[in-house]
Amino acid sequence: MEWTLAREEDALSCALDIGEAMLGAGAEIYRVEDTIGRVCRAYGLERVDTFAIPNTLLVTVRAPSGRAFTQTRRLHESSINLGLVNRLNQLSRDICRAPLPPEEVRARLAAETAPRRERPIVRVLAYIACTAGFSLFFGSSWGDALASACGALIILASQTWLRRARVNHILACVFCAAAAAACAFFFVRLGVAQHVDRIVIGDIMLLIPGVELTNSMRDMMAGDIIAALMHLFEALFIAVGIAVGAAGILALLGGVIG
Amino acid sequence: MNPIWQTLLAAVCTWGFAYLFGMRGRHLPVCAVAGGLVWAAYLLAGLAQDNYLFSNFCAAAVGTLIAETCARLFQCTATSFLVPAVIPLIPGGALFYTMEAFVRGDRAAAGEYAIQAAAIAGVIAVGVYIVSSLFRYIRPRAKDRQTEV
Repeated sequence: MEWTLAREEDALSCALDIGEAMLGAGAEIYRVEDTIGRVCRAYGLERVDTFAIPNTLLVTVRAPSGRAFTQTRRLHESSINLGLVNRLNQLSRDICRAPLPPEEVRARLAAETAPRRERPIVRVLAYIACTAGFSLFFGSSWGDALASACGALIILASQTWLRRARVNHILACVFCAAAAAACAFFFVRLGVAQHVDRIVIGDIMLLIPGVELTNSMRDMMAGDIIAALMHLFEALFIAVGIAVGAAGILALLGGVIG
Repeated sequence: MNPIWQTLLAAVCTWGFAYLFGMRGRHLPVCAVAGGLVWAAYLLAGLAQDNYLFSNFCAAAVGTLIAETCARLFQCTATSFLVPAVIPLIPGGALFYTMEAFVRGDRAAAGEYAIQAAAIAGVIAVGVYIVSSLFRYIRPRAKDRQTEV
């Protein structure tokens, strides 16, 4: 395949599109940098220098024609989607095996990142499995599990609403934790449930920044200290946000029931 | 609590989280089984030595072993199996009791729980780190080099 100047630039932006989608789906930094490098080299671009942190991508390549191109991307929001990371990984592997034309890559990328149709009931079931499952896991009664499941529905509704209203992620966690804690408190007051602690533990599992923390560890191992610290601080802020939300409402509603 | 029941619950929770993390199709039951096995490993390690840090370490190591193996079997990233699988180990309880002790004004207990939560997170990291480093020495076949890690 012949690559003209415009095609070279297009190939780079194609590699960045893939990298951007991966980073936004919660892939680790080394994977994003590695993928961009591989895709660029598959397109015949020489010497690829990538720099990625969780919200910025910066890539410079030298093309066979001797020209150097730089492109940057700034990410504003991300949502964890490990399945998408897997599919993008597969896409980049396909490109490495046989370089697809950039138009085709874009089409596949658009197909992969397009929101998939799925029944909302499955998402609701997953929320309930996470929360009710966890409170039972921590030794709660069935009444507690029911309270946890109701808390999960409240969290799901608030998350949907807060995302639409573009509320800051940490503030959203504070609100969701507070709503879940209030729900647990009222269930115990009504006598349906017994343990506020086990109900709330189940509910806050949904909010706990598990992926951020895991990614932080994996970035640290790979030597990407800046990215690791960014993820770690994000995780810490979210954890404090959850604590403030849940503790605040429990204190407000008449003291913690141990 | 009945250990078999708890292990089943761990699998159910892992299924839920795997779904929320965007895993679909045949990967979902794999994640659920991995989560159950991680919790089984935690309980078995507890029989060998009554120390929650040791148990968490063993469970994280087993989880990483499963995730790295599945990554090679399914040509996927290890992280996508690892993140849901270690969910049952996350010290959500310790985190909650830290906050609860703070509200009660019991600083000593809050510190105790906070250290416990940090220590659990730390040993999980070490368990994951050791096993995934070992796996880096197992080279994938040349044609699918990109599957590594």
